[in-house]
Order: sequence, then structure tokens, then C-alpha cells
Amino acid sequence: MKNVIWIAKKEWFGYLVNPLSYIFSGLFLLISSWLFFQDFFVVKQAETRALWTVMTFLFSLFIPAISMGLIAEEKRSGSWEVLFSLPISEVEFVLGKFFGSLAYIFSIIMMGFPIILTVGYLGDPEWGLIFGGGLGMLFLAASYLASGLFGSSLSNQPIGGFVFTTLFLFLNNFIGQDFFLSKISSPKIADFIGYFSLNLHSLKMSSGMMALNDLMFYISWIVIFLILTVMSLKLRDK
Amino acid sequence: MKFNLIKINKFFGEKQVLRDINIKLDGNRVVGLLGPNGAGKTTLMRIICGFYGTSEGAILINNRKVNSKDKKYKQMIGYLPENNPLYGYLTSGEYLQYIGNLKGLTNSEISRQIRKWSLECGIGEYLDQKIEILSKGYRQRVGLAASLMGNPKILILDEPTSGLDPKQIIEVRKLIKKLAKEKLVLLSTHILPEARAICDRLLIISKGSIVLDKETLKIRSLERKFIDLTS
Repeated sequence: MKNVIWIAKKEWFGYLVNPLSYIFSGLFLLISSWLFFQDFFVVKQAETRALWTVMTFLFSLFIPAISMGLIAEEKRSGSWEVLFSLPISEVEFVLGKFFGSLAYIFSIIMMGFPIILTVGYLGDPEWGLIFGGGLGMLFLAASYLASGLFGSSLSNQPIGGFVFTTLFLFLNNFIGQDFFLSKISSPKIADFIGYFSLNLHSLKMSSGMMALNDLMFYISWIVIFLILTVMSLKLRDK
Repeated sequence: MKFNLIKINKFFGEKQVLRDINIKLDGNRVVGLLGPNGAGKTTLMRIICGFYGTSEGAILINNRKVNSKDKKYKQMIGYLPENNPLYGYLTSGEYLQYIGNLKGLTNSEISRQIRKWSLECGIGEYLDQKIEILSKGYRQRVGLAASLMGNPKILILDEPTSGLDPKQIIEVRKLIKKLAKEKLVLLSTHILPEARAICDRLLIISKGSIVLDKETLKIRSLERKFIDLTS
């Protein structure tokens, strides 16, 4: 598993030296702060649910952009030929890419920390709710990233990965929306479809209804998409 | 060291790109792989380096069957692909370190090999420079040094002199000759005079099959032979 660490480190280093990463992070902080504080002083409630809603929306735009080149760029440049001539497996490669990028996304989530401190300073929030929401965000982002990694593995052009992931996440978000679910006549079918919406699980977690069921859903989602990515890489041989 | 490919066939879907490839290599030397575009050279090299598996056939090292995807096998292989892909944001030294790490070398071994191969490849002064600012010739040397990390017994070079200026070509050829004293070097090239100049043995591949396998000195008119066999 040392190879996972080397690949993750290199990936993380790639974000550190890329000016685009800083532009992404800065924009993310700016937009999320602006959207959050726009309503915060009107509602006058010391809670961060609105922050998580804003982050969810921004993640669905930013994460496809972060993940689009993770594998597609390696394919386009041909560097995956070198990598797979080395003693590393597809699983190590995919895990390294995943954890390296997740570390970068985690640092973006942590940029929301000053907002949380502000909420704590101005009011008396329920810290359990905030923790649950933050954890929900991390799992949501990791699930988006795993989907994006798979999308990136399908093409040798980063833009292909971006289009696939954005459409996929849009569709996933759509099936969790009330206006869609309310149109389904059978509540059982509506519940079943809604269960596959990533956002619904994160909303539950940020409203204090954190259940093992939601965590298991996210972990399963991540594992399934990482396996699909490994399978997609192995298909080069067919 | 004996390195044999026995009846290698490769299919992509229903399309067969390699047919009954039999190659028997013995000892340290430079073996050239020639062929027109689309003949199957790159696919064969990708199979030997472990990027692709075989559909049928076997790879033998010292008469023992090996799996080309096996980690131990891959530690014996160094590979420089045709367009020499590198990570521009890393320095040459960081890239060599990264490759050394992935080859499973210890830190002290990595430092020792970076010193050795950067000197051999003439990039000793450029280890702290970002790859993206290096000239094409120096990038090629970085790629070559990376393929040598781990001191592989078999070196596979896909068009190692493409895009280099005449002086750089001569230097790279000299280096390949030098490396072949202790390694088996398999290189593909389009340039027939180059093949004649540096290869001890030549293989011509056409439409997925080996159509000529001979010692270079025994081939009289390589150009004519190449055209006859590949047309």
C-alpha cells in the first residue's frame, strides 16, 4: 500500500503547485461565504445548515472540474503507460488518486471553519449538528469524487470526464428533489428512487438525523465507483 | 539472461493485432524492432513492459514462464514510451524520486541511483529544474533516466531519438550502446540507418507478424528488405 501513499502525495503536490487550485479554493470560499451570510443575519439563527446547502451546490460544480483530469489526463499524455509498466496495480493507482484529491477537497471544506467559528461567536449553535453536517459534507464530497474519478476514467479527454460527471451528479441531485419525488404516485417507489440521491443523505446528516445507514450508503457508493474505475482501467486490455 | 516470447497473440475485441510472435533473445545487446505504422510494434512493446497482457502465448525468462503483470517481472523492466510523457510541474529529481518510490526502492537506493543515472544521462545539473522548462532533448534524457531507475535488466525504448537534434541523437545512441553492455535493450525506430547503426539484431514486424529476425551484420540491403517485407 506504499504505492497508494506515493501516488496520493504526488497528486496532493500537484494541487499545491497548480495556481488553478488556489483560484478554485478562493472562489469556493468567496461564493460560499457570500451565499451563507446573505441570509444569515436575516434568519438570525446560529446554525450552519444553509452553509452545507451552499457547499453541496458548489461541490456539484467544483468536484467534476477537480476530478476531470485525474485519469483522463494520464491517458491523454500517455503517462499511464509508464505507471502501469511499474510494479503498481490499478487498485493502488485509483486509491492514490482518490485519497490525494480527497485531501485537497478536505482542505477546501476546512476553509468553511472560520464561518463556523463566526456562527459560534455570534450565537449558541448545536455543535453536534455542525459536526454531523461537516461529516456529511466530507462523505458527500468523497462520493462525488469517486463518481468523478470513474467519469475521468471513461475518456482520454478531461472535458469528457467533466461532462459525464456533471450530468451524472445533476441527475442524481434531480432524483432527490421534492418536486420530482412528489410526482411519483407510489410513495414506496419514490422512497426507493430518493434513496439513491447523495444529497438527501447529506441533508439528513446535517439536520441531526445521522444514521449508520447513511454512512454505509456513502461508503458503499464510494467503494462501488472506485471498483468501477479499476474495472474501466483494466478494460484497456480488451 | 534468456528472454523468450512464445506464440504471442493479441486481440482487441475481435481484431487481431499480433499473430504468433516468437522471439528468442539471449544476452545483453540492442535489438531493433522495425515496422511501418500500425504494424504492432507499440502493442508488442506494451505487452513486454506489462501495460497489456497477452491474449495467447507466454513470456519466458530463463525458461520460466512469467506473468507480465506481476510486480517482480515489472521490476526487471524499464520502459520509455514514444512521446515520453512526464509531469511538467515536478523537477527532474522529484520525478526520478517518484519513479524510484513506485519501483519499490529504498530512499538510500533511490538517491544512489538518481546520482548514477542522472550522470549517465547527462542531467546531473538539471535535477533541480522543473521538467516543463527543459528542452525536448533534456526531457528525453529525464525519461531515459526514469526508465533506468531500479536498474532493470530489460530496457524497452519506443522511438528514443524522435524529435532530438543530430547532436542529441548521437549522444543518446552512444548511451544506448553503453547500456547494452549490461542490459538487454529492445528499441523501436522508424529510422533504418539508426537501426543499422546501433542494433545488433533486427526484427521487422508487419501486419502483426515477425517477418524478419536477423543479425544486423547479415542483412545486406536493409532498406530494400524493409520495403519488400512490409509492402
